[in-house]
Amino acid sequence: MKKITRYIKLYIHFVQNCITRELLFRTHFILSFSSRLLMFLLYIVFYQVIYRSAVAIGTLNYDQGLLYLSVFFLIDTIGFMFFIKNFSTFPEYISEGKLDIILTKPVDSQFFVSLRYFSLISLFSIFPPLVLFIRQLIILDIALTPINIVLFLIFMGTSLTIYYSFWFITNLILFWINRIDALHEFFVTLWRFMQFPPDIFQGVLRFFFVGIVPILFTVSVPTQAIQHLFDLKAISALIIASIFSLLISRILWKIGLRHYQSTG
Amino acid sequence: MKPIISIKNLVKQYSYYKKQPGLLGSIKSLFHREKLYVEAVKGISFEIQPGEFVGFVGPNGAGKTTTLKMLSGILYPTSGDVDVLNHKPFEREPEFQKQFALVMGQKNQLWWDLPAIESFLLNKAIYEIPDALFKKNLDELSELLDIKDILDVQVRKLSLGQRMKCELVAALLHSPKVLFLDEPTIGLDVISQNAIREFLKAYNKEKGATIILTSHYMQDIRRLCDRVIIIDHGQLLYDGTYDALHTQYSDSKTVEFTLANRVDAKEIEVFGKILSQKDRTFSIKIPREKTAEITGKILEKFQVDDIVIHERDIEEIIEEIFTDKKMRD
Repeated sequence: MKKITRYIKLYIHFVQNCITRELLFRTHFILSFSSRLLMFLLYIVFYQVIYRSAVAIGTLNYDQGLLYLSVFFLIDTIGFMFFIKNFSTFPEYISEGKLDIILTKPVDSQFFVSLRYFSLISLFSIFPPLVLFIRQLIILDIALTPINIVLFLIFMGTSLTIYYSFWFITNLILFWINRIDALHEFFVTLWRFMQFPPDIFQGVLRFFFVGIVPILFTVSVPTQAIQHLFDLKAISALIIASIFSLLISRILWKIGLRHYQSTG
Repeated sequence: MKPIISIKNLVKQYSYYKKQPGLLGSIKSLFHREKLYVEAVKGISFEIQPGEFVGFVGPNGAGKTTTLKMLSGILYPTSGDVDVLNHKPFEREPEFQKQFALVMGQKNQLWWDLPAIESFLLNKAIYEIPDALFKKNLDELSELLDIKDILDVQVRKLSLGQRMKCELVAALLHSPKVLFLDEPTIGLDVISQNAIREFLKAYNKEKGATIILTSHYMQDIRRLCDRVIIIDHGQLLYDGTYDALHTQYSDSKTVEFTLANRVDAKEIEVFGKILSQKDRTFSIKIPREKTAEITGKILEKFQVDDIVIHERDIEEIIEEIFTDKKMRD
């Protein structure tokens, strides 16, 4: 318990430092926020265009589709808020030896490199998908009960664990292949597939998103939970994938550190 | 006394891929790459006692920084034993990490866009420094390094010297027992170099901290370190006191004297090789063991206005050690 409190305090320090820093650069802040907002609006337009020529994508009608999209963006934005700056800094840590000082600190190094930076811009970027999420709950007349709220939050946490773990694992390749710029983009590109409901993925793609990079149910399970729908197979797959992916990320981090060569 | 740092037959091997020259070579390497290995540290051994101030000297690529990184747990040794503060550094136990600090002249831990005080407060949380101790250490260190006025200034706006002072404060707030310093004065002007040296000297004396310092500036080593460890190509060449380095490797001294009257250079040559002559002032190289005898004869034969005996410059000696080794290799 003492350890958890210590890490929470430490994280608050990280967040405070990052907020102070981001507020120093107002133009950057405004431009980045505008860019995230624009991307969100483009996706909605994109969905509208698709639904003009189809009644449903998979089993989702237009309003259910927008609910699904809002959950996708909630996970994406929360993930960005916690990890984007950290994972985009990864090449500097490994290729330029900036990991050196971190490895001398009496703090878990995986915690340090994963959560050192916090994106204030993403915190503000949560509001547009959150508004859409609430709007869709009202339109679809979904009753909010303590059970579906708690399950939704638990599954969001589970999905974010998978999201974090695989994004983190992707970056660990740098320990073995020293120079790949913007490696973190690779996971983000895969993740973007999840803006579409899982039903549309069949064959090799379905196998890939279930067996290799198990992110297929990361958006659908929380979206169904808030609608009082439970697919036990998908829930089991999500929970197992989150536990295993976190474990693998931990093991690979430890192995990666043994390969870390720093710089002269 | 049990050593605070002990390494035995320490080896570090790096792997890298051979790069063939030119564009064609780069394209070929996409399909086939030859993996090569280089030994940065080749089985060095030494022990350091608590409170020692040790200079770690060697040319670029000698293995100094690699050794420091193994001592601080950043790198895993390929083989050999390493023990620091009764811990295996590569296990990175928090109890160990709270007892040492590493300062690297070319890498920083301060948050670039924030005032240094924010990084200090973060370190307070990282090292779990009690409020009273943090305040005491911060007051003391910022007073000693004269940075009280710049604690609230963004790090990016500080001069290199001021930044290094802040880096030192950040590293020392948790009162480490062992301090690894890798080129802490690199790029600094003479005034800042002196300020850092004075501080380190006082810190070592007052706190009894064990310090290992690597530096390209022999002034740093000369003024701070009682003991010098010289390595080259990953091998230990010398481990002993700074003074003994002269005795062991320098068989000569320089005598500089000014005569009251003009004298022909030939009369001086009989005492030793003339290194320089300016008017009535001569500088000659004499055998170390004959210093007393020769200076006695000079004083006896000539009317001398002034006479000074110099040890050979340490830079020259070290350069000679490296050159001798290269020739032997």
